[in-house]
Amino acid sequence: MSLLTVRGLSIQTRTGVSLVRDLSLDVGAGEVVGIVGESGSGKTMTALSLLGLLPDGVHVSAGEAELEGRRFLDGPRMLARPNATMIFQNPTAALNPTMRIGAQLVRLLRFLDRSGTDGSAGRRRGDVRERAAALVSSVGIADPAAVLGRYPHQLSGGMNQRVMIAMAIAARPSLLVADEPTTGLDVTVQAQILDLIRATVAQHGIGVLFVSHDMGVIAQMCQRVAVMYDGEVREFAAVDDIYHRPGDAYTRELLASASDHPRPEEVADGTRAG
Amino acid sequence: MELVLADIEVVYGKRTRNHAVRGVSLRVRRGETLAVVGESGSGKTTIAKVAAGLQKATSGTVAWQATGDGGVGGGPGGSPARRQRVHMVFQHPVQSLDPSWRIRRSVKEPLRYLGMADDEAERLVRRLIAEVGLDAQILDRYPREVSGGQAQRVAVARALVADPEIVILDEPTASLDQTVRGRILTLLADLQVRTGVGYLMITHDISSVRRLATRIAVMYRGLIVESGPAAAVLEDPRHPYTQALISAVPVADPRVRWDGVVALPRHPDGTLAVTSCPVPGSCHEHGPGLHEVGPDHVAGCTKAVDPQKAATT
Repeated sequence: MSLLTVRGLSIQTRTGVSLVRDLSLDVGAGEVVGIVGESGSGKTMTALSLLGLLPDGVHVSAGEAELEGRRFLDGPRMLARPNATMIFQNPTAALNPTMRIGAQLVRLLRFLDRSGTDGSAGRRRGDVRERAAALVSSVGIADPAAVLGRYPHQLSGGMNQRVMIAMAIAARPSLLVADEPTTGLDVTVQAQILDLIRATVAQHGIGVLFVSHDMGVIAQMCQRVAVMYDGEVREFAAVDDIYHRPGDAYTRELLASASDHPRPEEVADGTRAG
Repeated sequence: MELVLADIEVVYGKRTRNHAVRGVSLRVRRGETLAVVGESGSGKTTIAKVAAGLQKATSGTVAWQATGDGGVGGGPGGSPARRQRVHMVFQHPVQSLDPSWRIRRSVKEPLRYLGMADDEAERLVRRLIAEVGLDAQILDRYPREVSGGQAQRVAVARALVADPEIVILDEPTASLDQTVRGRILTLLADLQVRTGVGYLMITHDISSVRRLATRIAVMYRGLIVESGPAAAVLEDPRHPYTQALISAVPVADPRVRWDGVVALPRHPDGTLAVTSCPVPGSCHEHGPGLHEVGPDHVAGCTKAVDPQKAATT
């Protein structure tokens, strides 16, 4: 059975401009499902809508979503807070710039203890700073004490993304939504973050909805992928099918642009005027 | 005509003494593309600025080989004659255009600077806009009214309108969508064939250079650690850092197993620490120079010289 099921999701602006139309997809436990597309294709809006994070003036106009068999989204209404967390494209901007990393983690852990989302409210009395240190070392940070004492602007983008991942898994979500989590990072840092996400999925058995524009990242991270264009899913299938038997013209164009060699049609697209 | 940078050193900050570039030499010829590849902090953008005359080198020379002028460091702005020879395309296309100017004025600016008559400049601008695959209507728009891909085509037109010898491309496709990226690279390759312009392309993404680069120089912590013909560097990388950079790019094929570079540690400043070196410390014994590892292919690693190949040649 699917962990996350989305059916007929449509997203609109207040003025009636349609951003996403009739989107359906599902994510299994322990599975990484990708959404690939270009800016404006609606992939980020889809991700944000599942956490009730759509910006002002943008709303879900139709469709529903279930997580672990519980319906949490019904058209414009958020019925419940899904047990899902999110990591973002620019981790340095996603963290609070005025607080040290340690203080942010401690605040998060105290909040989680109080709200008892993992059913252990009041039980986990252990030193919250020690738990924060354990959390950052679980995401491969070698010197937790040094990182906890720093502000986000003193750390690299890769280090901040590790902190974001630590915060995301602290809440023990069943679904992680990752919106371009490695865009803007150096390739070697990207490789490490992708490996961390893989390890996190394997260790916690969570499902991941992975939004990216990078065909290489999608190929290596996902089991299935939805190709989005102009607010619609053009194709949703296993990565092997998408990459080796693409059924859609836009998918083929994406694949061609990601490969090393230009395809012959590109010569005729107007760039060779004259 | 050839742009030659020799022994460039750049030190930022009087007290902090941040050694951004540590003795880099490179040359860019007309009609070819030199790609300088490296990660944040490698000094690649500083090299671009030095080549463009936007940043003064602490020591070293920037010169045009055929005529021999140019002089040490260039200094901010450089001479008008210099500007005509070198032009630049920046990473953020929309931000690199003046928001209060119509596209026409931005593209025409280099010609106006050279004192060209307006009707002749207009004719050239229209020709370039057509050559980069845009409609002349775009000339009346403002930067905010065009897409990122269109703005980058405008920036390319502006860079080429004064017929420069060399265009410096600083991450020209980093902020563009993947399909747009492919078209811009095709456009740049095409314009090079037609005009004979040389490119100095700065990028962090080694996979994006395959289409355009004739030669590749890999920068690491202010040094060039490997350089050579593009195919040789990509297919037969010799320096451990080049190997790490190439293997870190996710392969766009789910059937190819990719593991990335997961175990490489980092220096305190965040740059990758190359510890996979089979003979740590040997660089210091043999000096930091580059060693020949193939035809026109050098690497700053003594172990990169394959002993078997060395014996047979």
